Amino acid sequence: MNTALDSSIVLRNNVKVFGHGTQVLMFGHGFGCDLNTWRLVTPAFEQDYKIVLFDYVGAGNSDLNAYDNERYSTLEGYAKDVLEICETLNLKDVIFIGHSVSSMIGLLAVNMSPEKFGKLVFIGPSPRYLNDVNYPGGLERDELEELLEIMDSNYLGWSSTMAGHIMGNHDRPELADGLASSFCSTNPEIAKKFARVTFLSDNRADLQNLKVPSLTIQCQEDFLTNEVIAAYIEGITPGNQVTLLNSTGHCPHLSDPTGVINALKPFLNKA
Amino acid sequence: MDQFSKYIDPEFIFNEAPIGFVSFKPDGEIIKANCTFYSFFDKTERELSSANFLKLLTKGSALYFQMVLNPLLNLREYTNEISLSFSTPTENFDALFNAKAYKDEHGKVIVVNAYLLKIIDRKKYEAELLLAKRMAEDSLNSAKKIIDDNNEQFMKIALNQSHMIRRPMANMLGLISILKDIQISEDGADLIRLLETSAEELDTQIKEIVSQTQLPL
Repeated sequence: MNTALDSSIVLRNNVKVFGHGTQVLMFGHGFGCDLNTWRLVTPAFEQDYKIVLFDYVGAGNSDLNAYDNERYSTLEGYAKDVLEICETLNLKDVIFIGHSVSSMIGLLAVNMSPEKFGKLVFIGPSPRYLNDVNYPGGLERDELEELLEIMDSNYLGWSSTMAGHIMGNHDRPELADGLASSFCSTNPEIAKKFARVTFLSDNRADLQNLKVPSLTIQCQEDFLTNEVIAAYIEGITPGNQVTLLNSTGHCPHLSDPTGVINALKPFLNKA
Repeated sequence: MDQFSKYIDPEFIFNEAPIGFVSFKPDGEIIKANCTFYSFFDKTERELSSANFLKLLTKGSALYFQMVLNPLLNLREYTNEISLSFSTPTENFDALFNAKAYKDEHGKVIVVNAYLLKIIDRKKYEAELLLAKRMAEDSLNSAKKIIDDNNEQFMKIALNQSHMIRRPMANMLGLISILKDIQISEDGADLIRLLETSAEELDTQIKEIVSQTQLPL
């Protein structure tokens, strides 16, 4: 292995590895957050699994200088990062657990190198967010533009949060905690590009080519996706099953970690 | 003192504060709100009693809330000065959203207390700033395009000119080589050698120009 390459990829994606098992659980965060999003779920698996967490480039503590407009102009670029992390850490038989857009990034990574993966878990997935003929993606083009405008208008908010972090506010202890202040911090310019790539993606055809067993975990009242999309995925994806949670929202791993853990365990244990 | 007591009563302050206050569950169900909040939506407490906070947001803001603010409230437990858009039956309005989340003993968020500050003037300035930013970006892109176009034009001219100059140059070099085979005086031969050296230098210069513009010969 090339040590320089290894360290550069580990730094690029802020890769963290822990846990006492050999079977690998690799968690991919969704849009708008970072690896901290998994903090309520991973303790349930630390004893029995090797846990791999990472930040996509532009999110959390990833290397912002590594952002490449061309590479990250499609979800395939992010999927290549996932594969490079697997290669760098020499991971095999990986169970990839992706939230939101990470579900499709995981799908692309598995389709590119199926030999590296054993199973795939989608949490709140959508293969296409925009409405299409006979496909209720849920989002119209003008609604996507409005989201991008909201992100624009919160640019200053992001900057002030980061400035507080950098200046080490002594009068605000919550900001003195570097971890807390960097929660879900994403460079706003990159976040906008990531949003565009995410919401304009269409991975419906990729689902049909999946060659490993997969599980969809879906909440109620999720603004971004719903049970109809989960059923659609189940219908066209070989080896996919759905678990519906009673909890609401788009981030059950934060709002209902126990529900997510209970949904994951039987799927992980299944031969 | 009695004349003030009404105005410093906590319930009065809560309801009449010039900011909208709302408490809601993580799924958006409104538990309590003040009169100012209801007035933002031209509704009474009774009319909004079963409302869902998330459904008062425009679609773009609701998406932003679910994707960005919900994780923040879960992980960091507070969020400050987030600009969100709300829809009412008559018009949309923008407000700054400040909130604090409270968790149960298992670390699960059970309630979010938030206040909303309507922003009208700030939003206008912000719109102006964003417009200026977009115009600056467009100008930059236009300038880049002009430079690219000019470069492309220059390359075309350089290509044409180099070919136009090289053709007579090649003829001259050919004629010089024929001249060298003709018997002429020593002085004439010296002049031909000087002519040949100059022509070769000029040819080298033309090739250099072509090479630097990366044009095929």
